[in-house]
Amino acid sequence: MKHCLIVGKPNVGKTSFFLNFASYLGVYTCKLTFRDNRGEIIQKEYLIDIAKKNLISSSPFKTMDIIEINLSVPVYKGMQSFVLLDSSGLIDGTSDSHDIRSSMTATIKALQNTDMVLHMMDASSIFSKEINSISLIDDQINKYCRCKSLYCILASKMDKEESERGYQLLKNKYPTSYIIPVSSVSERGFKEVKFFVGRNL
Amino acid sequence: MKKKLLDTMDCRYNSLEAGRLSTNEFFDILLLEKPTTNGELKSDDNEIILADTLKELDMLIGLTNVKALVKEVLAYADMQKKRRANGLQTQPLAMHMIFKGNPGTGKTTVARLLGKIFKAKGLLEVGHLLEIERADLVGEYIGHTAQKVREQIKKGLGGVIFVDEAYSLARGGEKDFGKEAIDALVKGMEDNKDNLIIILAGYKEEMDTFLSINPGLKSRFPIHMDFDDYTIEELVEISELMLDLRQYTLSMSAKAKLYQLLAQKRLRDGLHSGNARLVRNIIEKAIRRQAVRLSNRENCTITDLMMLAREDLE
Repeated sequence: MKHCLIVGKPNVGKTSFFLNFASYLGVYTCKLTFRDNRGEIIQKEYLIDIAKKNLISSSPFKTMDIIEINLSVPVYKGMQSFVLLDSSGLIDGTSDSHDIRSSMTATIKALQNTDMVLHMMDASSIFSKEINSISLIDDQINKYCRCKSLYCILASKMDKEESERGYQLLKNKYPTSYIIPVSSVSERGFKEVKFFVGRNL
Repeated sequence: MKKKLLDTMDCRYNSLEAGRLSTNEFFDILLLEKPTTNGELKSDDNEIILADTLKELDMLIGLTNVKALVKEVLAYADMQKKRRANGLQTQPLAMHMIFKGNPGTGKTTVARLLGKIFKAKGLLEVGHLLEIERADLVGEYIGHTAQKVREQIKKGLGGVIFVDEAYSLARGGEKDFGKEAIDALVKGMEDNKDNLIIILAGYKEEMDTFLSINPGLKSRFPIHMDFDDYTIEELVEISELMLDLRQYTLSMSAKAKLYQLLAQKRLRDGLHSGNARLVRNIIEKAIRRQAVRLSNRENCTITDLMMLAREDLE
């Protein structure tokens, strides 16, 4: 089965997109597999709303493991299943905390073994200098994935005011990549992501 | 080899986790290790393709100078990669070429192979060959030409643009748009230096006059290749190769007839006799005639089916 990984800086809305996209594809109870850097696996089953409450947070580094979920999308007349993976955020340089470093290592490992990459960038915070603004690491992920695997950029948080300008800037900055504007609040762009994934399975 | 790679990878993961290596440094290493192409092929596949294409090139009869040039370019590309790995400056190499030679001397064949080789080596992104001629470049009214040229360049981006009979661009006199086409072409190739190779091809004399009329062109196309006419021995060798691929053989007397035919044609038609293309035409005709000859026969042996006799050649 093909693996599709969501990567990006911390707090750009990876987990939020992960769960909302799952619920968009018709999942009510989600069976999640948590895998940490050592390869230890924990499986949990949540109702989707409870998962959202538990796993999404407005502070960075909420997700510390690779979270897997089996999903299926329509391809031609049937359904094709794939594994969607959520990852811990990547930051420039290195971190003081051992836990964060080890979860970043897990993310990079997953990045090297995946078939498809959804690279998430926060379109609303591009003009500010926060932990989730785009930076060097985004360029590097872009450069690395563009050549290696199927790749598209998700410009997230498109429901915010600043985002339209941010989206235009992203389009100029990465002219060769396919960019989908998405919003987990309004479900904008979910259809396009579904098609992108379905087309490439 | 693979195991060693995995070990170093593990080692890197460990230093990443321990904080000795930053994420940015880690990606720098990853980006350095992989080939620079944007193609989806992995480097192993590329190497297989490269080896196959080089073999194909080696199989071509004659063309020693072309083979030598390809070796030079490959060595250069390897060196660039090593330099980059050691943090030295690297520069894209202008690879635009001029092919001079009579018809049927292998210009198009070599261009097609070059595209494949450069792609496998990571110098081009797509490696396809776009064959164009005067009519594809020169427009009908003022301003049309530049637009047409730009369109062709866009189509050829990432590959090789092969302009056949390029001298015809300078043929029309003062009011012709051919000159405009040359200017637009030069502009386009300067802009897309590192992802496009333009090859101008044509007969030797005509190309020489063409280049002397446009002195700027000569320096912009650093690689000049002369495709000499094949000798009759080489042509016979080529015919044997072609027959081999099609699983046919020539009988002794048929071979003698082929010599005679080729010598006759060359004497009569001179330079425009067609070289390798002529050989192909002769052979294809012979295959057809053999089919007619055998069609009346009841039972044919394998040798009959494969052997082209003297009377098949004409």
